[in-house]
Amino acid sequence: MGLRFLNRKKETDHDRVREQLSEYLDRRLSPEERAAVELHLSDCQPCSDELRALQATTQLLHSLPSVRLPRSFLLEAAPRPAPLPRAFFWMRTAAAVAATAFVVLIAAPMVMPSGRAPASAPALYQPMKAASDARAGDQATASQATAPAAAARGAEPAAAAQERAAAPASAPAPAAALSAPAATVVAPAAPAAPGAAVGGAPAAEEPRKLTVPARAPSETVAQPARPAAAGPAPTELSNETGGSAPSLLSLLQTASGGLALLMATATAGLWWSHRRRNR
Amino acid sequence: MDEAAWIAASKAGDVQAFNRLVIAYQQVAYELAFRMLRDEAAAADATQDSFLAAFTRLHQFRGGSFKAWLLRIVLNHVYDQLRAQRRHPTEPLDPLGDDEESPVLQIANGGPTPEQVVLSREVLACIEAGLQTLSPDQRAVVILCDVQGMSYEEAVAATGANLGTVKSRLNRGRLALRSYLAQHAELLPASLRHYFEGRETESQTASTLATDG
Repeated sequence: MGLRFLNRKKETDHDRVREQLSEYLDRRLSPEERAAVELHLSDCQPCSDELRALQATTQLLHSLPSVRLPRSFLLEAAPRPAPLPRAFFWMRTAAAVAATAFVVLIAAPMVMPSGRAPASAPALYQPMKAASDARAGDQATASQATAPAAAARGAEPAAAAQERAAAPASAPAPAAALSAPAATVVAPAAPAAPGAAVGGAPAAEEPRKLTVPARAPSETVAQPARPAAAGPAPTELSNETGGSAPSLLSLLQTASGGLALLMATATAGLWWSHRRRNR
Repeated sequence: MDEAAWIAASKAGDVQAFNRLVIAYQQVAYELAFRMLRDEAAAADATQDSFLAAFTRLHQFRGGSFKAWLLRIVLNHVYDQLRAQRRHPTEPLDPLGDDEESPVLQIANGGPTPEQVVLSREVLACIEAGLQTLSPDQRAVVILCDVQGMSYEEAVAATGANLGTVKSRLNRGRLALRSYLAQHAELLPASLRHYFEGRETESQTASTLATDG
């Protein structure tokens, strides 16, 4: 009876010590635990054998030679995603600028009170006729057209108009042509123009013809509203959008719009392909 | 060698700094992978993937043993490979280590740190085969602690298991390997054989131990 108890206890001790053999070997047991194990070992040959075998096993494992590296595992390139190409940034800026310019060019004519209906097409086709028909009114507008400097300065419109009207047609013509858009919008010049226009009407007509033909008729049509005209040059330009020759405004609108679209598409494409490459 | 500086630079994205860590730990990382997988190609893949993952996840390393943290990543990849191998079993390559053929074996006295012995090819093959009989969990801990000399705490960090589990796996793994070696004791050289044989040679064991000292 007692012996059986003792045997059972020894079996439990065997199991317990067996579980602790590694810790004992590695000196990870507390002093009390170690003492208990050593006590058991002193009286148990099988467990002592087990311990020695375990020790030999760990020594064998510790003696395994190094494994030969088949290759180097150095990282060659930065695994982090590559930064966006520099082109992306200026393209994005160009797209934004072009888009803004486009919006301004489109919106400005609508926003600015020009007194001129945009693209008055019917009248545009009869520049000469309209000019001759509304000579009286044209004279006023013509003098305004021929007073580019006056429009800009707004100080001596009459004097300038006379000056221009008196000068040879060729000289003032190009100048008049270029500044004609600006001239018409100058309200202050209008009242003074008629006076000087009379003398300079014949000469004024030529420049008017040289300028975009649509000018005269549109001026004629919008004459009543002229005093209110105070917009910048682009306002004049917008009147010729329907003309047979493309106006500067429409050119700029198309150019800015096209550029904005092009840049935006290119930027988006660049960004998308960059993301695909770095996923 | 300032590992902390390399780690800090690597965290900032410096690949060259990280490569110094690779140089320091690629041997240990590949060895663990190879001893677990017994397949050079699979072990190389797991090692390369582990270093890449380590670089990417470096922000998660908050100090402590970098080696243990790295080996944990290696073990994760190894387990992935083992699962894949179970689905598609392939013939493992013969384990050929950088061993030297030497019939002379010395068993040193067991001290706090067991000394290394020179092993023959046959013994090596026997041990490697024995390791393969262990469960992956036991095998990992035995490799970390007994082959690579890591402490219990480092093994805890590398496996993600708690201390009690690590101790248990280590003990059972060692005992299982010891049983395997005993079963194939005839392959072991004479000087070693008696450690693994039964009780009938216990007296011889004692005397041999005394003389070998």
